[in-house]
Amino acid sequence: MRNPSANLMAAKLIVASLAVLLLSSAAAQAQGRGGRGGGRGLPPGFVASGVPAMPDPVGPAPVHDLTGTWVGPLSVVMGPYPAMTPAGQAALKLNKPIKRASDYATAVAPTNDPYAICDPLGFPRDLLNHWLSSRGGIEFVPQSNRMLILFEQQRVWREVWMDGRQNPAKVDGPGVPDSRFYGYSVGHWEGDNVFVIDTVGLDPRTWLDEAGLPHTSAAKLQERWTRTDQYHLEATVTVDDPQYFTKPFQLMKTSYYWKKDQNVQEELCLASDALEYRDRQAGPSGYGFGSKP
Amino acid sequence: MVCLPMSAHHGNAAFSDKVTEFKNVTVTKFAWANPHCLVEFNAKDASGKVVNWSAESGSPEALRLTGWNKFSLKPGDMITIYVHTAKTGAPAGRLTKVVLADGTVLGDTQGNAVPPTSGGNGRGGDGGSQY
Repeated sequence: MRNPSANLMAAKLIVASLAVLLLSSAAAQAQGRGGRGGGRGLPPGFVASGVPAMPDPVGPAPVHDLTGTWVGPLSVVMGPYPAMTPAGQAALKLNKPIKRASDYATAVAPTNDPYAICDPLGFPRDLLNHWLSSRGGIEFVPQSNRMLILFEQQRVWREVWMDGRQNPAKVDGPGVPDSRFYGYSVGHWEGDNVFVIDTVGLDPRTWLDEAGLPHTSAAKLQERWTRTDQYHLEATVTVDDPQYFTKPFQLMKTSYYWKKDQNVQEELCLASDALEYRDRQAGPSGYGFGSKP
Repeated sequence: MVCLPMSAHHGNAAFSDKVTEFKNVTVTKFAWANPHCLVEFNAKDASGKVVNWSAESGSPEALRLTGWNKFSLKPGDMITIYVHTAKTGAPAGRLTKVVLADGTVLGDTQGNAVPPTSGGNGRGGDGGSQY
């Protein structure tokens, strides 16, 4: 994803892995719908590690209702991403993600991943809940005029207004609002079970994904949260950011599952912990957390 | 020596495939922290000099699933710890398990059955665990 040809390779990887993922996801879904679990080396009664299955029979999705705590993402499909504009490619080069195993053929450069020192993930990277937990919780809390979405990871929340207001047409200029890590959001229902959120005004310091995909503050994102039945929730996020990408694209597709105990944990990234980890462990081990190897 | 699969959000190529046993070493610190818990311990090198090591594991939430808690280790505890050591030669690595003085075994986060995710995005590719 560092250049167009890499984008193509990434797209191929994604397509190849999609088949595996779909099989995995289908297995998890089947376990979840059946309520028995126990597949893929899991103990009976679980749809994923640490995620208890809900009992049979699974009821239909209630109308216009996401209320409750969900665990996930249990599956994530990213992209495929389109070609980037020259400005987008230049911005991408500035972002240095934490190196992965496949990158060790080359020298390890220090990362500037903002989350390596616990800067906010921001939206939509917070949906990945990746660094701390793949079993993180999100909670939808409907209000009379807006939807609150609470995130276990970093204990942050989003406000999705449903009172008819419009998102800001522009941010970061004279007389207009500042961009924000979690942007500005409005939402509405489509049909009985699809909650649509439009978000703008995202702070460009955040990354769209773990690999450092950049965006501008003019990016427009749309989420579609589909409750497919009582216990399953799917989400897609699309991005329209013509300054950096040659066409709109689907950034991610994720799935969540009903959290049986409905408890939201506290999963915090503490700067003091992150700095100790960087300097005591990651730096000396040589995997590029910005410390001396 | 035993070769085991490893998982980490940052990849594992920084660590040796081989597992090194550190027998009856003393815990100096246990950090129950994100993104990785750290076990720091003193071990003697070949010349008898005491070296302070650091070994990472999964996140607290991941470790809870394998029986750990915030108080599993404390400074002064005598343990035996198994570590994939850093290729840089630094006294650091990825732990595979800890054996407490009473024989209790605390494993790392292997066996995480969360479905692996797609490639090309910084997720997945290292195995099922996200850590």
